[in-house]
Amino acid sequence: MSERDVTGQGMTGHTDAVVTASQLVRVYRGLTEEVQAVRGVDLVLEPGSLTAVLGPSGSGKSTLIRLLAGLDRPSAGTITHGSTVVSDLSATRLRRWRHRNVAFVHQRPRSNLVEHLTAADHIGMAGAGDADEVLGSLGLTEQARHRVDQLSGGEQQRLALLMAMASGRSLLVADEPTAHLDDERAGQVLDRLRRSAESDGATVVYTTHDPRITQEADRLLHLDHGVLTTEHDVRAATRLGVIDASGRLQLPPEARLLFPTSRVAIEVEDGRVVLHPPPDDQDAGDE
Amino acid sequence: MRLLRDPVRRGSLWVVIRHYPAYAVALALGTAALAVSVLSGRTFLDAADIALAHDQLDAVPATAPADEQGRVRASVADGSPPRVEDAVARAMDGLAGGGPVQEVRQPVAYLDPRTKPAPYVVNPATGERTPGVVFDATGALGSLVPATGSPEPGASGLWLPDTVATPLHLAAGDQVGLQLAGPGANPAPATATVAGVYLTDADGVPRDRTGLWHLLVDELPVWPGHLVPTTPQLPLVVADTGTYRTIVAGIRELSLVTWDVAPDADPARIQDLNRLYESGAALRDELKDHSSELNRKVRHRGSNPVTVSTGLSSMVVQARGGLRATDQGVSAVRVLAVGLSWLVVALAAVALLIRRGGERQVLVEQGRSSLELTTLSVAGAVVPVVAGLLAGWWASPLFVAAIVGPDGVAPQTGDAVLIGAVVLATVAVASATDAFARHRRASGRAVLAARRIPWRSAVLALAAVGAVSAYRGGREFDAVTAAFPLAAVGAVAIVVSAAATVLLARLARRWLPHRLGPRMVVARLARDPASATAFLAATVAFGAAGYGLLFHASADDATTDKVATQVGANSVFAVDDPTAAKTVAAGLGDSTVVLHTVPRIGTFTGDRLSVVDASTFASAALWSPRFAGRDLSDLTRELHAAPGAEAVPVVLAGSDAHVPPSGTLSRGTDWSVPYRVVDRISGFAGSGRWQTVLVVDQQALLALAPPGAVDSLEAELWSARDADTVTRAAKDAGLTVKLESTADGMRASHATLVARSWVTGYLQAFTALALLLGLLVLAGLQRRDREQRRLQDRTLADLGHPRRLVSRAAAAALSVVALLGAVAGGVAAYAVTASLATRLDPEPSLQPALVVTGTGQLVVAGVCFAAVALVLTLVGGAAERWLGRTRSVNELLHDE
Repeated sequence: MSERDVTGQGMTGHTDAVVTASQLVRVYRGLTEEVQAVRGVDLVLEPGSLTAVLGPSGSGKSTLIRLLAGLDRPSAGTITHGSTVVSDLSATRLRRWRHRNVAFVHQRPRSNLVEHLTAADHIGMAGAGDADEVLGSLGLTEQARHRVDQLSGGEQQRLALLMAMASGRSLLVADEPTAHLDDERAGQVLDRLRRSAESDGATVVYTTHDPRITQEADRLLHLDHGVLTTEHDVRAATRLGVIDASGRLQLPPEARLLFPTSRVAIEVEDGRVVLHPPPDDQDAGDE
Repeated sequence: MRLLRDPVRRGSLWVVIRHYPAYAVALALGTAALAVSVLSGRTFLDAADIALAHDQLDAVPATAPADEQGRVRASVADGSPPRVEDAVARAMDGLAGGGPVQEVRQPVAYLDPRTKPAPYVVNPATGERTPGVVFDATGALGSLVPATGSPEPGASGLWLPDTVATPLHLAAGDQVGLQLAGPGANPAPATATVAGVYLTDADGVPRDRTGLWHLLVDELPVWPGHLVPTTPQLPLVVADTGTYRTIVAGIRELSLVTWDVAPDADPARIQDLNRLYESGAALRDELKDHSSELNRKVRHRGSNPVTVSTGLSSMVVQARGGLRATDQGVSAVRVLAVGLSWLVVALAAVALLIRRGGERQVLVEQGRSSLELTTLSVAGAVVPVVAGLLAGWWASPLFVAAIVGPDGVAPQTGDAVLIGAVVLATVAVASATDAFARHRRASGRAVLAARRIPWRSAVLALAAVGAVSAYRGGREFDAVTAAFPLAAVGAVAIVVSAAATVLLARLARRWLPHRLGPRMVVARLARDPASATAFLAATVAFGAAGYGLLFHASADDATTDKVATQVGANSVFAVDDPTAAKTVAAGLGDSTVVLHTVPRIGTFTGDRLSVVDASTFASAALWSPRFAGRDLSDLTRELHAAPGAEAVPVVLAGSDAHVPPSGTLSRGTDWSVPYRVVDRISGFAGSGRWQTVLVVDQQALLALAPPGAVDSLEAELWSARDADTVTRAAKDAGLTVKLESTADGMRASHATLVARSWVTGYLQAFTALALLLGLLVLAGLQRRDREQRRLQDRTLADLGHPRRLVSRAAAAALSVVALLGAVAGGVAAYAVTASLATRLDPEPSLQPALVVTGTGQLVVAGVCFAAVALVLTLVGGAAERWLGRTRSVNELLHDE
């Protein structure tokens, strides 16, 4: 994909621009208390990659991808896209940056669509030339002239994804993209996302609970209580933990099972850190 | 072209009317209302100007004296030479604002009762003669209808009526003579050639070709008292001015010459009346000025023989007063109307933004700018706004015509363009604000929520300030009087709503009905914030409309009561001969003779005694049901005395504390009769706060009074017919009558009465707009409610529960809210109207004072309002069910 013109201070439109988040924090102020939705997340998203954000409900997945897409502003920390510091942009520059770089797909299909437009209109709005061909790629040819309220939930979701992919933007962010799709359609959607990443060089990030597409991602980011617990590079078959600024490290769930009392013995030897249950706990367990 | 490739931009002009028609209609309605409220102002005042001028001119009977007429009349009556007539004619022709001059010449010496001369038309050939007088008026010849054998009338010559030509055997081309013969004398006639014979109607009046003779009917020569009429109209020998002068000089007659100039503008406005009045006044001054050229020209035998008369002066004063009152009231109402209309526009624009919120959010997240979103909103509003403007442009004159009259100036294009700009600017501001807020939210910044704006406190404060201003003083209808009731109704709605919410919440905590349906209704009323909003909307809307309705009804009824009290009948005449007057009244129908005096009751003298003919009074008199709470005929039945009764039954009206239930009525030393009060009523013709009227029946009074008592009473002829009809009937019967008052004249002399009726009509129309606004808000709340419970309804239906249970509960709750709002609004409107009664009174100087009426209409309107709200709910629910009948729970879940 070719470079796009950019305006303003360092707002790159390179499709090969890396997205980085550094010590990302998002605090929501409620009536009675503050909620820390995202706490000190650091990550790097490479162009041409598919990244799945995983975690239980309320773990901060949606907040994180909204921050990455420029739809929310971090309370602390920075987000950069290439040489653009997204988190420092004014509202107007942020809008322009989104307009040039980001395609976001909400979990609720209708939230992505303009209700009085047809499916073909949506593809046209995304800037794609041949709407029928684009729609055909996810089996929506016959629905080309249907308005949004004439489409089923699954059709609406496929249309929203097609619209995002057809926009040719470099950062494609989706919230639960296969939530309303059957296996076959979910596979097709994943293929299209893969093609966007590999052929167009887009950076694809999505949240999901769906094991069908979890395994297809290049990287898996596990979030828990707003903290990035592990980062799993599927291709390299490596799993990385993250030590935060206070020196804390979160263990993956299967590792935590080894420490039922939450007590841990730490041994540093020959450049490695070995964690094991304290002997007292082991004895108690044996008894 | 690139611009049009974007589907969002491409369809933006039609998107609202195609996909959100209800909002397009609301926007168009609001724009139309705003257009009417703005455009109608100028038209309204101009139409009022014309109507007031017209009312003043029309209120004067044609038979009234010249100094009451809406024209300038100059007259010369002492046989002045032609040079005087020519000078006056030229001067009258030059009056500004009037024309053309209507000149009338008629002989007057034949009327002299001392010498008793008789005017005759003579056939010189046979010596036969028959009564007739020569007559000349501008256009008279051209208005004659020629008899068979006569040529078409021209501008000159002498024409005989068929009633003269036939018995005298005269025809066109014959010689005819006119003479003025004293008793026993037969002077030589003045002769002329007959130009033609014209046809007359049964009364002897010339058949009318152009309508002129109808206008001249009260100017025509009359039979002298010493001759016996052969036809109702004295035969007229119609001649041109030269022939007329020759004949009059030949028979030594004297002429009365009049020149009348009426306002020439059609339709005439107050300034036209004033221009003519000022011109006439200047002419009068010039005639009086001995140094003026005109005075020199008209001077005859050392004096000025010309009299100038007009009633325009008082007309202009009265009409200006009415226009001032109209302007003040209309301006006040327009402030309110513009505010309400703009509120409809703003609410429609905001509602549309809310409805399209999802779409706008998509566009914001795509990175589209606030400017683009605003432009799209404005583009979408253009078609409904233009449609609304056109509707307002079309409706504005009709609206004014329905209240005032049809002759106002047309609306101005510039005003319409300005209104369109204001509406589109409103849409733009709302859209830009919304887009700006969405962008701020999308970039993680805080946005001030609309619910944090303390509008309730603002309304309460406004009502308090308005109350201080409204009740502090002042008697006129101004912007405070127009707007305060709305603020007061709003304040009542807020207080009642807050109290009801607290009470219902407590009730719901302690008790709820057992059956599910009623339980849901009570629960919704107690807990759903939409119920409180709906109550507020219904109360304010119906309260505003109720105020308009009550004010209009009360002001109109007050006017009716004041006219009935001040005048008594449509036309009232003083008469000298009650017996002859009774004959005339019987011939006219709907007329009666009322006798008056000031009696003594005990030692008190100052009340007014009205001695009515109970059998005819009800058909002739003006009456208000508020005087006694029943028909006048029912009341007059109470006045009949039983045979052999020893006291006259009396009905008392007005201040009656000093009148004992029974006693003696005396008229000086002429007579005294015992009386007995049979009823007390609040009003009657002539009654007032300090004036008591005692009403008795003539037969009952005269039966107990000594013979000749009737001679001590002043007589009046009251009629439901117009003054001209009565005057002509009296003239025909030889009865001398003097016009005292007419209902039209009374209204015209208090033009504020008419002005207030217009203003209240104007107010009522715009407060009806508030009703529409309330219904729109209710409909919006219902739609929102249906959307919120769509999934709930469907799920309940799929689970086997009565499908319409929730719908019916919602409909019942909103209908109850609408009804309660109507009740609260109606009560508040009544209270406000009653408390402002003194200020709303169209003419506080006239009795009786305004009382609040129209409550029956208010109740009907309240029931209709609740019914419309219910129908809206049912129709909306049915449409929703029909449209969503094929949607499954899963699909609805997807939407959620």
